[in-house]
Amino acid sequence: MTKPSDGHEGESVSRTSSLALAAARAAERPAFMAWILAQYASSQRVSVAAVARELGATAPTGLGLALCRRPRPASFVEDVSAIAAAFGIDRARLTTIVRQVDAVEAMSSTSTMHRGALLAARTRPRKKGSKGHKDDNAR
Amino acid sequence: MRKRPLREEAMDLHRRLLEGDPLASEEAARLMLDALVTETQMRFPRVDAQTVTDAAVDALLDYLENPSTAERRGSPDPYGFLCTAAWRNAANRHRGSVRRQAREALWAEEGPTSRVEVDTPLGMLVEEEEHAARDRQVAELMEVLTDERDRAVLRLRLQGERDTAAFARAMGIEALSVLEQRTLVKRAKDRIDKAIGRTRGRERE
Repeated sequence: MTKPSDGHEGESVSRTSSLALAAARAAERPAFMAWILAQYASSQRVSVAAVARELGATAPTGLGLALCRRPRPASFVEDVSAIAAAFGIDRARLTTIVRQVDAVEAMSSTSTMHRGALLAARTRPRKKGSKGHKDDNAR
Repeated sequence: MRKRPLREEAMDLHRRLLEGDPLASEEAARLMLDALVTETQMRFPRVDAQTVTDAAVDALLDYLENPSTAERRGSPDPYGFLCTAAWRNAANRHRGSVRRQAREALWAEEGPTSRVEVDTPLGMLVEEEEHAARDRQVAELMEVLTDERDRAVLRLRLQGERDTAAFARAMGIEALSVLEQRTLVKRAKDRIDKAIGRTRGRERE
């Protein structure tokens, strides 16, 4: 999928740098593979470049991989296969990485939901001197 | 100069983005980003290249994340929609950058404000009080900033430093890539600006 850049050398440098900047920014957006790679790298305490190498990606293919959208849950296998084939990377390893990040994300969103439920169950302290609730008066 | 992509190419990628094709975003970035940067720079020739590139990248990522926004705005041409978004981002960023430079200049260069002669005893007293007031403001800011790296950035800014590499060294992030350094330094500056805004707001109240 990565096409060789055409044009002279200066243009090629500018192309790489603006794409590199886009890939770096995409790491802050969960919709992109860059985010998946960054999350995995952070959990393993390694660099994103090391994760790319683990997948068998070179620097330009790593950049392209980062700019892909993350696989859709409904067509996960097809999407991971398409990405792996396009960039010539290890499909099984890519599947493991995406699944692991998905699992951590799901667990953290579940724990956030539970925290919300606990907060909702708390009784709000009554203000000093305020009249009781209608139901309290009825009791 | 990178040429504007053909409308058919852009429309085809747009359709694939809407379908959720995971590869379409990478292809769209390769096809459109450089042309977008070039056209935005031509539209805003006085704005620095970094601001223009940031504006184009953000517009592109917003679009790749939510391609349907181009349809909601009624644009029949996704690339045209992207150009408008990048131009708007560049204009907003440029305004923000001008405001930030004004704030930095104010903090770095703010000197004695009184009109009393400095060499007189009264002048020295007033100058001491002004320095003390400024020291109090800085101390208050330092308390508000909980992260030691933010405090290091503030110290450098007060000395008039503008070099990102110097900020990165002070933050201990010089081992990261230049892009990551730029992002983290910018975030620290944004946090400091907000803290300055809050501190000044309290002073006015």
